[in-house]
Order: sequence, then structure tokens, then C-alpha cells
Amino acid sequence: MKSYRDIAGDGGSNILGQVAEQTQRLQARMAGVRHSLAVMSGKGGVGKSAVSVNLAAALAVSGCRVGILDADLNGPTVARMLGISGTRPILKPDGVLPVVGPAGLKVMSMDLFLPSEEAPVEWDGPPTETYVWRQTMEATAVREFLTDTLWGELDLLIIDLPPGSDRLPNLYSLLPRLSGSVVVTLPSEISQFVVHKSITAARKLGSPLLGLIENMAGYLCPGCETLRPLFPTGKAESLAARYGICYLGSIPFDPRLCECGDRGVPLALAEPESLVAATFRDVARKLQDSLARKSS
Amino acid sequence: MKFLCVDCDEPMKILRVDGPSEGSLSAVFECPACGWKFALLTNPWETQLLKSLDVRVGGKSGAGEPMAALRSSLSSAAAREDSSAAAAPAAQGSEGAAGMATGERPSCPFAGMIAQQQAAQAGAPAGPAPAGVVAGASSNASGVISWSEEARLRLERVPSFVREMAKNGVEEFARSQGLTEVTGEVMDAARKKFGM
Repeated sequence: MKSYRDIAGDGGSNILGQVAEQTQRLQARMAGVRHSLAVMSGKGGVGKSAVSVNLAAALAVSGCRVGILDADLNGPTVARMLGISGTRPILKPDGVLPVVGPAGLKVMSMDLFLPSEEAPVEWDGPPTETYVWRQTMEATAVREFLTDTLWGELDLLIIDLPPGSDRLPNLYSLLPRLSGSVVVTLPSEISQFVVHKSITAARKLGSPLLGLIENMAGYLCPGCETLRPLFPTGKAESLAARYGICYLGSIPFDPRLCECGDRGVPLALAEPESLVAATFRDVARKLQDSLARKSS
Repeated sequence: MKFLCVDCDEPMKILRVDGPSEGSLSAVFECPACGWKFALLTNPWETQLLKSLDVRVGGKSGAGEPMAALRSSLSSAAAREDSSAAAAPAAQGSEGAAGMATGERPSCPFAGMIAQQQAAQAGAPAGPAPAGVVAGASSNASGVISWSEEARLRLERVPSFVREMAKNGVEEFARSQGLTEVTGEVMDAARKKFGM
């Protein structure tokens, strides 16, 4: 009796061919994107989206053509932080136009497809045992966001990942040519406890770690601009050193960062003279240098 | 997955695919040597898994519409797209024909149904049946409406605080068309009529 490997094809469905074709279309779409960068942590609540949005803004202001994919399907905040929540993408025959935000940032997010702020992501499908297929559907959604968004020519596509140390491996299986990732952590030990796992996962994949950013590194008083520690300092820098990752910088906790996010304008654009904006510009410069070295 | 006719030691070829119907796909395979046939029948989770992978049993030609899997699978997406199509009817065939317009968020997806019910209570005509729904010879003004299993399961997915209203609206629509049973197709037609 013939075995599986003895039989060419699968009787006519060509499922493997369909999957290969999906991969080819994704690669073709990404041909115009010079670099792709995942912003990850593993830990939730460290400010990945705020970092993604402000970093993107700083890069855009410096002249880069930047796109952001909000890969956090179930908790999308990027569109809100850029003031484009509620705007619908336009469907074209060959793809979907990203929504353009401040500084010309091109954005794609699940938020742009949901009918209201209150609406969670709900999929049509069998109402019971959804665990059987839900994650597969979400992976397909991310693949379609990458493949079918008309990104055009970009210098950098930032992919804002949801929490979880599994997120980078999942993305990497879709995008093996990912330029690298940036890890965001808080100064706290509990944050770094989880971030260790994400770093380990990235190293196992062989995906470059282009830097580590420490967020909420000290409280910046908006009145007197004095920086005071929120957590014990220095741990993120030693974490980066331990793994041989470039320490890109520490972002102070400035209440205006949240206010601007709520208003829909990145602080890096709204308050360019602020310490936070200056820090993001510095991080952006270091990142551009890393990517340039990688390209050469 | 591949299928082998054991007697002939020949790979089976797909003959046809039907469905999904009530959550099940059927794929009929045939041995090219002896003609023996069998059907593969999927359960709703297997059907959904295939849909989630965005692959088609029987093959798929071309890339399809952009973000087809996402847009067709989001349970709220249809409401958004229908709503936008109603609000901003773009010229068909022109470049950039919009399936999703820019603009503000749609209003309550049940607004159309509420308006229809209010019109019905005020004595306004129910309007013609959308294409695809065969109307009965006369209206079933006070008849009992039964629900198919598929329709009942779909109703269960409607948020509880509007489920009763949705049920009444769909039944009202069915009666106006002279129907005695709500099926998945009837729900699709009602949804279209109410602009959802």
C-alpha cells in the first residue's frame, strides 16, 4: 500500500499549495518594506503600544516612511493613540489602504474594523469549543493584515505585538525575514522575569534583538521637570548587558504620555521639546543606526 | 490529508465539494481506477478550522478579495459594511470602489430593524422580499414560526439584551413573507432588509 509520501498531491485540493501561495503573496507585499521590526515584551502593561507609536512618530519626523501594524487584535490601542480610531480602511481591488495618521504614519489595526469602542473581536463560528479554531483565525487575520494592506514603499514597518512570549515565534513563522525586535520592559523585577522568556524565545529563533527600551524609568514631574525613581534603577541596563542587547534608552513616566495617547496625538509630536520626545528621538537614531548596520 | 483506495493502491481524487451546510462540508472522493466513492463529512469545528486557515477543500483559484477571511469571519463586520454601503453608495466599477468607507462609526446595527418594526406598527407596508427568499402565497400574519437548528444557533449568538428584539424582528419578517420557518437564509434576508 502506498504511503503518504508516495502520493503526489492530495487529490485535488492542493492545500499545501494554497498555504504556499499565501506565503508567496505575503512575501511579495513585503517586498516594498525595507525593514520590519517587532516591538515586544512578553509582559503586559509595560507600554509597548505607547513606545511603538512614539518611536514611529520620532522616526517619521526624521524623514522615515513608517507603517504600524497593531498585532494586538483583542486589545488594539494604536489607532486610538494616533487619533484615527473609528476611521474605516478603504477596500481596493488589490488590497486595503492603511489609514494614515499623524506624521504620515500608515496604520492597520483590528480597531479599524470593529463597529464600536465597546465591541470585542467576535468571530462567526461554532459557539462552543472556540479554542479549537480561534487562535488559527487570529493568526490568519495577522497574515491578512500583513499581506493585504497596501503598505506601499516603507522604510520601516513596526509591528506592535500583544503580550506573551509566544508572540514573536508566531510572527516569525509568518515573517521569517523580520529585521528584528525591540524589547520593552519596566524597571521592575517582575517585568524582567517575563521579559527574560521573550528574549530567550527570540534567541532560539535566531531573530535579531535590536535593542531594549526601559519604559516608566522614573517619574518626570511635569511642573519642575525633575526625574525621580519609581523602581530600583539600573536593572534593565544590566539585563541588556547580560544578553548582549543594545540598551536603547530609558523613557521616563510622564503623565502627558498617557494624556496625549488618550487625545490621539503621540507625545513625541505634541510636545517635541519634552524630555520624553527627546528620548524617543535618541532611541530612533540608535535604531536607525542598528538597522543600517544590519543592511550593510 | 490524502486518501488511498486500498484495493487499487491508487490515490483518490476529489470529485466535488458541497456546503458548508449547517456547519458541515462534504467532499466526495473517487478512485480513478475502480470508481469507488466515499464522502468526507466535516463537523462544525473542522469546517471552521479550514475557514480559519483560509484554505478550500477542492482547491482555490486566485487570491480572492483582500482580507476576505477576516472580513467574512468577523461577526460584526457585515453590519459595518452593509451600513456603510447604505450610507455612501459608491459608483460600481469605478476605481477604488469602496467596500469599507471612511467615516464615523455606524449607529446601532438594529436601528433599521427598530425602524421597520415601528413602521409596521404604524401600518406601513413591509416592502418586497429581497432576492433569494421565496415568499409564500399569502402572509402568515398570525402563524406560528418555527426555527431551524442553524437559525436557532445563530440567534444564540446575538447579545442577550437584544436577542428578544432580534427574534421578534426576524419572525415578523418571516410572517410578512408568508413563511412558517426561520432558516439561515431567512435570517440573512432579514439582516439585509434591516440594513445589518
